[in-house]
Amino acid sequence: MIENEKRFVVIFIVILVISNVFFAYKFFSFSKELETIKSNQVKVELNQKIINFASMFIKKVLQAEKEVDFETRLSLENAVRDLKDEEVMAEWQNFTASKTEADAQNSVKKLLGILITKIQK
Amino acid sequence: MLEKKSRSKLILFRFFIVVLLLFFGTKLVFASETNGIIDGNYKYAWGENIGWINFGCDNCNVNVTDDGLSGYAWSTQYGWINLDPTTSGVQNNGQGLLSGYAWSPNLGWINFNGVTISSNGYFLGYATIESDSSQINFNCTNADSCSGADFKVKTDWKPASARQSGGSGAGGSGFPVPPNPPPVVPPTIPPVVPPTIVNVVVDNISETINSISDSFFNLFQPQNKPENTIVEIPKIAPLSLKVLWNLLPRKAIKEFVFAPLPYEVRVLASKFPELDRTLKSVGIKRLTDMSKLSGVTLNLPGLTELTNTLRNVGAERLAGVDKLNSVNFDIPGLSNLDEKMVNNIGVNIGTGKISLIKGLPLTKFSLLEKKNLPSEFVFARTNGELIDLNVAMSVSEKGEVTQKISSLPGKTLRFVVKPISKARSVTGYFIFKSATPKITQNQIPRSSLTASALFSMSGLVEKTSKSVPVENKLVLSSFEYTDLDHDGIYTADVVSPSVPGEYEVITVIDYLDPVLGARQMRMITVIDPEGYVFEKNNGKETRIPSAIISLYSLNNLTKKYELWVAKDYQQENPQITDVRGTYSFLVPEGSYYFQIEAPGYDFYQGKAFVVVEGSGIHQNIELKSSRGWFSVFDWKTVLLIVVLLLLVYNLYRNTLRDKLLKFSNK
Repeated sequence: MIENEKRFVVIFIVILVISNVFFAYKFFSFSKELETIKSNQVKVELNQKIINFASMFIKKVLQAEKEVDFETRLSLENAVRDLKDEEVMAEWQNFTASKTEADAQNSVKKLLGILITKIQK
Repeated sequence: MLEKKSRSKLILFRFFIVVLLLFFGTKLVFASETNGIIDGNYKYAWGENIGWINFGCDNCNVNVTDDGLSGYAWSTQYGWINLDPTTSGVQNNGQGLLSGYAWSPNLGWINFNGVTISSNGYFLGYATIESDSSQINFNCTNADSCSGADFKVKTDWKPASARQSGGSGAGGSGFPVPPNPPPVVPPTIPPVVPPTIVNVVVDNISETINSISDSFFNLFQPQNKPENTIVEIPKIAPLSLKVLWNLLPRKAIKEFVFAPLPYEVRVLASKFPELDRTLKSVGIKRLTDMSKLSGVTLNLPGLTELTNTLRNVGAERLAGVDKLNSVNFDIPGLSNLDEKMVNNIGVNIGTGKISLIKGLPLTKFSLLEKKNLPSEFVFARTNGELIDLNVAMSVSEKGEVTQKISSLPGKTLRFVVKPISKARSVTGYFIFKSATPKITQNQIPRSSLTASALFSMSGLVEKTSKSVPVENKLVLSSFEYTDLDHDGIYTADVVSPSVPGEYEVITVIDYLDPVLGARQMRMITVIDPEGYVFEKNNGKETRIPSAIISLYSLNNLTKKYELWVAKDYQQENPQITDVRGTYSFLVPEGSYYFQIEAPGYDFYQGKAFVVVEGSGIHQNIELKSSRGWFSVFDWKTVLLIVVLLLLVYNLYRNTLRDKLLKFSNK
């Protein structure tokens, strides 16, 4: 009778260990998957932000027919800050601080180039 | 013992005092009321035209003393503002009333008259930018705008009247001091070192405690706490956003968009007005339009020259062909056609259009036509000049114009070229390019000698200052063009390679005129594999030798298929396949079908197919065995079956014999 109990306990422990291993494996594999999904999500969000800013820049600045108003500038400023990218920020500041037409053109070229390269595959 | 106890109590008391001093003295040390710094939480002023100005940035180092302000303020839009320029500076009367000027390279002088520092260290009032008289607001309470943006500039400097201590960070001795204290220490005395060490130690301790407490409290706070950043937007737009400039470089864009057509195409268009008109009418005017040519079949000038002439007389349709009776065309070779060629013309008049007259040998050209023949073009013909090899011109993704002809292995090709001046020699090279035997596809077919001339020009005539670098390539053979009749037109007969693949024919004209030097023309020659006849055995192809293959062509006049007259094109029809089961026909455009007879195989009659341009036919044709399902049994199988049947019969006979014996015994 006691032997039976012992046997039962051993089997129970073995089952627990196996299930532990199984769930641990599942946990790590799902964690890994989750990490990948998260990083992809971050990538997608960042790409979306870049595209939004680039689109806004082209629409509101490059295609502007009159002076860019305060609200639009605020939106642009927020959008560029939202990217949290120092390179883009620096080039944007270069652009807004341009003193000559050539500087502005140069900054536009650089800014668009940077934005395109920032889009991750 | 008691003494010991009291001594230890004294030590403990002293330690306690030191700890108290360390903690409560910290503030006293930093709270320099006579030499203040800017509070990290209140450091922004607002310029109505220039946006936020930061007085407490990392490298600003703004100091407020009884005498004035020093250091720099930072404007995102306009850069540094020097608060203590050499010729002026912001002065303080010791009671917090500021005056004087700060200097910005981009804004000019900024007048601080009207700015004060309150008893609790807040800046109040407005400074004025002299260049545009705009104001800089130091405190949102000035304009009751704190609900919109809570900005202030604050210092720990205090006006003399508001100070409660000695003001030098002496540790809070508690003694009252006069409102305007004279300097306690003479300026020559070096600064006292110990307080600096205490500062550093206290700083380190407080930083450590802060970081520990931060990390502890962060455990219970959500991660990635969003940072509140101040977006600095000036009210007036910067120059780059005022639509004063062209933000996109017009010149570069113009150069890209309006880049002219490639040199080769421009030369062609200038020499052939028909092509020029065609390109313009389909909107190909510049380099960016070249992509429209991808996969497009052009109506080529050689053909157009004829069809235009016909169109002018209203004879472009078969219904109007009668109008051509007794009409002389000024087309090369047409004026002196012989009877055979006239017949050929008849054959070539189709139902929907009048197709090309082809196969006019060079010897039939009049002197005038030879003279008018375009120079430096390589024409490729075969079968005694009766067939012009079609040339495909394609535009690569990089915009490079390449041209190709296709032929079959072992065919005699005649290359024709006319130098623009007297030549010392004209040499051709057959160069191996690729072994890939691919069936050619003609993007832009070309049908005549003239048309061939047109596209053979593209990219071919290039002047070479040095010797032609064909030596570096795999030259299969070289050949000399000759001009036996001294009419200025050089010809060369070359047998095409027997191995299917891609080859390049480079023709080099070495002019006597040193100015012209040596010029070369290039043309890709694709040798298509021959067609073959086969049968399928267990998924594998078995070539069928000695099959008789006949090619039938559609006679447009009789509307019937007739055996193609191969003799006119120096070929044989029907052909008998060789041991490899191969055959080859090089035919002009038209509709054709095959008939194949081979002993042991079903009679084959293929479906009609159309050859758009003169080109090789290389269909692989499968024949079916005439024995039907019996073909599954070869002689070995039949023998085996017979043996088996005999065995069965023998067994049956034995059994029958045994039974008879048993019956007779009974």
